Amino acid sequence: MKLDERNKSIDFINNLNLRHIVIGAEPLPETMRPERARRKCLETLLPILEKQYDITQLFMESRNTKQDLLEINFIQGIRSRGFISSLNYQLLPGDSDARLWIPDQILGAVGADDWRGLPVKNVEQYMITLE
Amino acid sequence: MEAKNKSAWGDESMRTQDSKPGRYMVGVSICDLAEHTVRNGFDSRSLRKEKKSIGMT
Repeated sequence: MKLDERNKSIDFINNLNLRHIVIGAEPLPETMRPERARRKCLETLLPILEKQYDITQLFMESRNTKQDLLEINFIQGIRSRGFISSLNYQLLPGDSDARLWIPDQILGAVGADDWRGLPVKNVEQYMITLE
Repeated sequence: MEAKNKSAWGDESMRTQDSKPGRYMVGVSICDLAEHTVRNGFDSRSLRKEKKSIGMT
C-alpha cells in the first residue's frame, strides 16, 4: 500500500470520528504460540468493551475453522468465569462486511514502524506483558 | 425503553521482527455506522484487495 493510499484510508477513518481500542501483548518470542497472546488480548479487551463502553456485540474477523471453534470455546470459558456477561461475540469472514476493514487499517497504522506519525485519532491502547 | 445495540468490529495483527520482540495486537473500532456507509466512503479498491495490499490475509 502506497503512502498516499495509507493517508487516504486513515483520513477517511478519522473523519468517521469513531473510537478505537487496541490491546497489545508482548514480548512474543518465537517459542510462544500466537494463540496464547491472542487469548490474553481478548481476556483483557472483552471486559473493557462490556463494562467501560457498553458494547453489546463484538464482531471479529474469523480465521480457520479449527481456530474459530477453539476461540468460541475460549469465549464461553471467560463468560462462565464472569469476565463478561451480556456481550455477544461473533466471527465473520473478513470480506463479509466493510466495518471489519476499519480495525484492520487502524492496527496497520498503530503497529507498523513506517506508519508512525500518521495522525490516527481516538485510539486507546493497552499493553499486556506476556510472561 | 429498549437498550440500543452498540457494536464493535475487530481484527488482529502480529508483528515479528528480527532481533526485536514480537507483538500481538487485537484492535476494535466502535462503529454503529451502516456497512454500506463505510464501503461507499472508501471506494478506491475492493476491501479484499486493500487487505492483501498491506500483507494481511
